[in-house]
Amino acid sequence: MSIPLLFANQVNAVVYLIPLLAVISLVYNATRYEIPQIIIQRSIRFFFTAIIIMGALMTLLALLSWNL
Amino acid sequence: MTDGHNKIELKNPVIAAILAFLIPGAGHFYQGRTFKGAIYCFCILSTFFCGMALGDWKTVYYQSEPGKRNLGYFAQVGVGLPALPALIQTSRYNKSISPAKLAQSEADSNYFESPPYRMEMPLEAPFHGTLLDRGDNGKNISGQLDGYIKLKTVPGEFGPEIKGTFEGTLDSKPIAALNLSDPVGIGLPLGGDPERSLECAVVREVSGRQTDTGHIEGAIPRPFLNWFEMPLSNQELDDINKKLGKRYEFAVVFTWIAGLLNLLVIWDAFEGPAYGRGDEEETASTDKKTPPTKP
Repeated sequence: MSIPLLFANQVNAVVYLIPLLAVISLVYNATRYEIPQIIIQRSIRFFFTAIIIMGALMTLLALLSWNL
Repeated sequence: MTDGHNKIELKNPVIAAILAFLIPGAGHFYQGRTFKGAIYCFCILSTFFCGMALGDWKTVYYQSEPGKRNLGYFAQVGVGLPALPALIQTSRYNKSISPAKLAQSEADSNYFESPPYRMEMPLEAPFHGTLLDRGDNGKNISGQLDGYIKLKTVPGEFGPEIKGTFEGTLDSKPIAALNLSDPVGIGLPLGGDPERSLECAVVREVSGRQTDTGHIEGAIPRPFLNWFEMPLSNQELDDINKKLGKRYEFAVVFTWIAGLLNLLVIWDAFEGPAYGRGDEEETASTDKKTPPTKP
């Protein structure tokens, strides 16, 4: 196995979600709009909205499982 | 659908959809929508191949046996050409394995092929593995082998038997050629792993007789076409999960998502975007004109 992949195995699982979310937001918004500028603007907005929602959910779950 | 799609030149939507299925983004390149084509091509193919690389190239396969069918392939196949070889590989795999052998695979975790492997003789391949043997002076020898193995069928006292040699190094130090003999176990020619397991006995001349003094155990490489997108046996699936853990799950999810995203792309190539060119300005102007509602 190559060194970058070995390194990738060590990092937190959340790191995998960031590029995946970027791809999903870009492709999803590209299928909804046609003008490049609009696609990029909407993708960025979608990406950060999703990050905030996921962060909020993770925080909520962390609080609910506090001291368990 | 809005009127906006009329403003976009979709050329022949059926051809565009087929191209979009075969290679993500190709349908859009055909329609002259290069920006979107580039986004789709880069994002979907990179997600798919990242998933494959993260999962040691064992994430995409189709298992068609009842009870073992992997439905995830139907998400992966959305990517088109990169995932389609799995169907051909499944067909080859199923043809090479008889139902009797499948039953054997459940019982025998090593799943070595029984006599038909003799058909492949003579066999010459690079080999790496371990040696456990008793040397000429009676001392135990063990270590890592790296070298070249040659096996062939020769007539024996009780019918054809396999003989051969190993030439190479033991713990990186050159050693005299080892004489090999039956019993020989070789993994199936087709399988999901790039390496094919092999083990056989080491024989030495003791008191004028060829005596089994130890054995070698290791692997020889499989040709690319004999492992790429080939169904994984239960043992191979266990091994990859043991080796990669949750990373394998992530890798599989990457390939699923790539395939599912391409379904949206195919629809975009066929029908145009949900909001066509020009709709965005209308939406923006409507937003500006609409006064904020106050109670």
